[in-house]
Amino acid sequence: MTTATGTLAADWLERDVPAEPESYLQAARRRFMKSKVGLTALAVLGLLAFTAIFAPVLTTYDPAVGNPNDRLMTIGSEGHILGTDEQGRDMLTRLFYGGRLSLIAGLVPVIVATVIGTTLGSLSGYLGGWVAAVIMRTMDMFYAFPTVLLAIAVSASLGPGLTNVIIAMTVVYIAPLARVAEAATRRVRVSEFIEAARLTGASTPTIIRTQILANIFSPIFVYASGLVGLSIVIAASLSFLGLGVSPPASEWGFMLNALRGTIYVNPWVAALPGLFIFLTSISFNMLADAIRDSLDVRG
Amino acid sequence: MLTLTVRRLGMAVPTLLGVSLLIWLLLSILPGDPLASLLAPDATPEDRANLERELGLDQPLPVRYVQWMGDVVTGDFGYSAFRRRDVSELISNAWGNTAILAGVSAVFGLSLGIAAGTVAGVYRGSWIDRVVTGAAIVGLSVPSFWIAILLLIVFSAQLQWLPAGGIGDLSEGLVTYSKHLIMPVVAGSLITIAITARVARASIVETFQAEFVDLLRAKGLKEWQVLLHVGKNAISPVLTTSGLQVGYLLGGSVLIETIFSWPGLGQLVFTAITARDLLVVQATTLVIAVMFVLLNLSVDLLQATFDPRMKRAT
Repeated sequence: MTTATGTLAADWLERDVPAEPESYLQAARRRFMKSKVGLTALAVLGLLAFTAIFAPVLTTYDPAVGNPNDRLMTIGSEGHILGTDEQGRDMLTRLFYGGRLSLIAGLVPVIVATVIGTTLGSLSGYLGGWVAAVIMRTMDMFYAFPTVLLAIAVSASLGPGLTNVIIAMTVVYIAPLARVAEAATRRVRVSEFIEAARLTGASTPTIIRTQILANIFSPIFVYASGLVGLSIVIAASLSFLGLGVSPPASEWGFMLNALRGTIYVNPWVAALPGLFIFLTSISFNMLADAIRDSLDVRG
Repeated sequence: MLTLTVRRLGMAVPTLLGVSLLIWLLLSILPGDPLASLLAPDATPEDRANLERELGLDQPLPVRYVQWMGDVVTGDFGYSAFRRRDVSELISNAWGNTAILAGVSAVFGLSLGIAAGTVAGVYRGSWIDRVVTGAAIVGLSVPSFWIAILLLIVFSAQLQWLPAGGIGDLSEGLVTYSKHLIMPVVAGSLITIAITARVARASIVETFQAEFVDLLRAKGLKEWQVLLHVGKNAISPVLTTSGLQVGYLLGGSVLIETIFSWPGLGQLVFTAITARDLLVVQATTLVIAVMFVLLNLSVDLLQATFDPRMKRAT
């Protein structure tokens, strides 16, 4: 009897090779690969990044210098498929090159603010007490401003320039990210594995680094990815107001403002930079939605 | 209700102090020479020292903050050398126009957003829900200044139906006046419509899952009567977001007013940025931020009248 059961068990074990358990990130990746919207958005963004990075290879025109004889050509003109701007520069070329600054100005502030906000938020969430009070009450101050206005005020005070636009936007995003990180940390802090880590004598920075960060990653990542679409629009807004790049650099928001005067002569070319801002922003927003669904975070 | 009002007002004081401190820090600590626009190009170091003493810039920072606060509270925002006017005068001339534009945009955006979100929430999963949800994502992603330019291209440059900019004179009749408002309102409130629709939809969907809805249906109420109950219970998040939305409209006014030459606070900020007239930028930011804080405060109090739980919670 015993031997029979023994063979049976061994037999069963042999036949049914246990499937490798799927990790959280593998499951998320599998769900994301099923999302048509997410993949389309990723493809559009990949294409935009490609044209921005390889702009010098993709076009032979100079983005900064135009031909005065070719000013304000319409879409579909020979040699200038998307027309030319008010200085006779090829629009397609400037839109490709413009992607570089626009993408940098939209992405960098979110990335930097995520690092700073996560540090501040996880520290105050874990330590609590007066540290949390000081950090989080300071963050609250930033909530008293409409986002765009605060970015404009900081950026105007720092003076024009793309670096200052990036700094201003970083300042604006730190507060909301710190809040998300703090809330997530407070939820994790009471877990038993944190208690266990503390009992083994791990120091606060070690606990935050090895235990907390991995567990608050998802909500922060979801929130930060949702910010990028907005960030692209705000960066372009600041450039549109003349706070970003200076001529002859190409940046979508700045180009839109420069072409504003030509809407009576060459209307649809003037609308092109805005179309690129919109495409980028909506792709990031759809990508963020797909990421949120696949990481299974409620937000 | 009275204790709640007092307590909320008390909570707003540190926020307002924080706001003033932040603006003042932008004004005083950041690099950039506040005297550059006031001094003649051939000014000597003595001229500079005299001017510094005159403006109190030689005092230690905390003293300067208290002095500045005293000025601001009494309505003295300084003198704009570029516009040759008191900053307070510039702001008082402009803020009414912004209030009109933001007010009309808020009413338009919030009502359209609530209507669209409610319909989508009631008929969730249907084609109309998908249209609203999709349109909301577009509305969230689209830059308002691009929509403004598209509207200008279509309705001003091509069709020539609407004036390209400026504010109408009320003496020319309400129609002319409204014509000037249409494009700024539509372009400015797109984001408001989108966010409000999303929040309203989510809130309606969630409230419909509550048990009291089953009870109302079980006792034989018509579906529109159920909707009235659901609506009343779902309004809280919508109210919260509407306060924020009006704030965003005030902030976004910089872009919209610039494009449509609307003589409000936003355009004031834009011309000040171009002229590096920082006093004006910061005073306007302060005014808008204070309005924003007070607005959210009134929304809080309004919410308490709708939702008795809020009264107990605070």
